[in-house]
Amino acid sequence: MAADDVLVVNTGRELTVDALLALAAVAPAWLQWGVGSAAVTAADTDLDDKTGCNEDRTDATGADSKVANYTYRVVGTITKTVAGAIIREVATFNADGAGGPPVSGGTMFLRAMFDAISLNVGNAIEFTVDTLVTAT
Amino acid sequence: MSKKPKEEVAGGATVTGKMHGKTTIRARVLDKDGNVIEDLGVIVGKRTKAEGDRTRAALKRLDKNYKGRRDGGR
Repeated sequence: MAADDVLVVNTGRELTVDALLALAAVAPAWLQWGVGSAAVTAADTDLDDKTGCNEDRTDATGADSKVANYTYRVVGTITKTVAGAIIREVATFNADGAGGPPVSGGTMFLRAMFDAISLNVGNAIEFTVDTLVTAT
Repeated sequence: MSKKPKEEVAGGATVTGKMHGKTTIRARVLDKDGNVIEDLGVIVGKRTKAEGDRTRAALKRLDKNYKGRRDGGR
């Protein structure tokens, strides 16, 4: 009997990316930013802190794509409309959210933290978020 | 002696395959006309030391030009 062995093969990885794209309007391609600095955990369901971040989520559902077979790419731009908030985190969701501002709701796909970006009102950040589906 | 896992009981089988997502985020800062003010490069994910240095330098320039703490960004 062969040793136990299992792997999500390349076509399976590609299928995962295709499935995300097929979600269309509810794909996890709605971008929102925040000012929080709490470490990212797998249990996160929202940005850490959205104080002063009154910008709506950016709809990048028409701008998501498959790159090099196994990467799900979301490209979206958020423009700063309120002074004061220093941007430190970004997340992608599967919906535009409601309430607020800042909005909330929908299901979060990923959350990322980075070095603080000081942004003046009227300026924007264009995010390119690449998620590579790997088998190991 | 270890117990056999339930999956080996006749009539049922579970196969577990791992799958992961590795994320890389690149960022560019644009002005109100859509022109690129700073290309921050990779802000999340694996990067070389030179790429990290370029990102830090760009962030410093943005911070230097930041009006927020002087006049509330107006």
